[in-house]
Amino acid sequence: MQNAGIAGVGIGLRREHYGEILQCTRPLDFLEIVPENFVGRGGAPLSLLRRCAERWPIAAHGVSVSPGGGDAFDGDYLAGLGALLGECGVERYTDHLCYAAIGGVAYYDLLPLPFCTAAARHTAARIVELGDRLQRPIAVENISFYATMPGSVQDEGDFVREVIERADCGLLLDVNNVYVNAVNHGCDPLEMLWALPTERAVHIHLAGHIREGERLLDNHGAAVGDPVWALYRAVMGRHGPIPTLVEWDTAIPALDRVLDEADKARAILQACALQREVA
Amino acid sequence: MSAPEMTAFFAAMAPMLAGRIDAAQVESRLGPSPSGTAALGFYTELVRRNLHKIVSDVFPAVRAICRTDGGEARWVQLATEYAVAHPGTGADPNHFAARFPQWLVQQSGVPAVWAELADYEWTRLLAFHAPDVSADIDGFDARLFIRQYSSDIPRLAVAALRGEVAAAEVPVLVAVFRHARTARLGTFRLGAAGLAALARRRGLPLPASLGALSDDAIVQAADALVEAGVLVSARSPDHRSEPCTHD
Repeated sequence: MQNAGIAGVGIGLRREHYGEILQCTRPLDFLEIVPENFVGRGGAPLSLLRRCAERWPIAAHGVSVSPGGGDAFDGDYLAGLGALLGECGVERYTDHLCYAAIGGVAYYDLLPLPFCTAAARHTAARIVELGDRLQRPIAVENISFYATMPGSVQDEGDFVREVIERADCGLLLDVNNVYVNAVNHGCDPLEMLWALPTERAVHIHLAGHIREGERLLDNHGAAVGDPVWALYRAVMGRHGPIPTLVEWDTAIPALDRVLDEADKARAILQACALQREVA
Repeated sequence: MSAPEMTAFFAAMAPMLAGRIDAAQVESRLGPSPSGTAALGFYTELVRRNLHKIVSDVFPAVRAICRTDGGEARWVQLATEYAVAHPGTGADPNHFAARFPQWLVQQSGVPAVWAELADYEWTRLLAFHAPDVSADIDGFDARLFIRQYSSDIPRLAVAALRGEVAAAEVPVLVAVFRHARTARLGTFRLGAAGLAALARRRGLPLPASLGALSDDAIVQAADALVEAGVLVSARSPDHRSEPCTHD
């Protein structure tokens, strides 16, 4: 499965780079937006997005739809989201395998579900509904989780696989989250990686993390770490080139610095493609 | 865990995420977290940090002036108390912060100027993000807001963000707006003629205090407002006057 229209290596469209993104002359294959920053809004950001969409393919990665939540989807928001995706030519909507609100209260965080079949069935049904309402294929991201929820009877990989197979959707494989989770839960990163349904990966995320005490925090506020690059190479080696996004959302540096990181990913991705051609 | 138990899961997690119960109480209802009680409880802290960050990001000048006055602890206290009183709703995180200015007004020991500063920052955010309207509509209360402050809040905001203290005890009347054509955010200081021009554009009768203004002065003020991007050109053949929805 490939994310139609998206290939190569992209970065997130962030406010800190609004003033310079259109002047970018370096390699950049696509931009990813957080649609919550644009739905129902206007002004300069939307105008900029429209100009970006004329130049680059746009990917959309939501944070508030709450695919695993218990509340009904916000119909007004989904209508606005669908319109935005249509206007920007986004062919696949991606979100997180999590919940983000309970009883109308939004927590503005990506909260883990219990790893069990009931939660998988519940979430898969909602992902199907989301795809129907947006009239687009969906991919969901494996999130970083700092605690396994009460009621869990599966490991993360089995849970993610069950959701994705029941929903017949794609996996947005966040390699940094795999590493952060492995360290925080005392697991082998490669074992956690291959436990996920990586064969369903349509899109990859790379990001940095920080250490806070004994815990790694997935804060998207640093360069991609070497162990994460190693996992990325492993995925490329097994599955071939997959569209890849470099995320940098906290302490965001200059655009050139983010693009430096994207260049690293592109070099790995291109080397992988070349090796597969030779083989 | 069955479907009804998913309901129980969410019902147990909600008060913990809001900080009303602790992780041990969640475990007493749902069973133990395989990661341990402390790890489960970390989610209360993560949510608190997120909500705190939203308020800090939306109100950087209030935060700056608060930190100057009472240190970071004072700001953390305010942001935390606000978050407890106002759970987030909706997809847009910024709207979690919507009631912060009014909430500040009600807090004892908070200088009135902080609430005005918060209102100014929130108003700028509203103008910045307002949905686009037709280019021949002024967009009152969407991309264009009129505010009267007891102090020179725009000057105070700039100074606060620079870490400076400004003498700002002069009342001001300002238009906070997104430029009608360029979409840049701006603040325009209004005099009597400017206020009269805005009132006229909205079809409002001029109060007696502005009755002595000449028509030429009001027209010149309107031209200046158009030039600054506060108003759209009324000379456009497409220009439509807007109904006045509220004062």
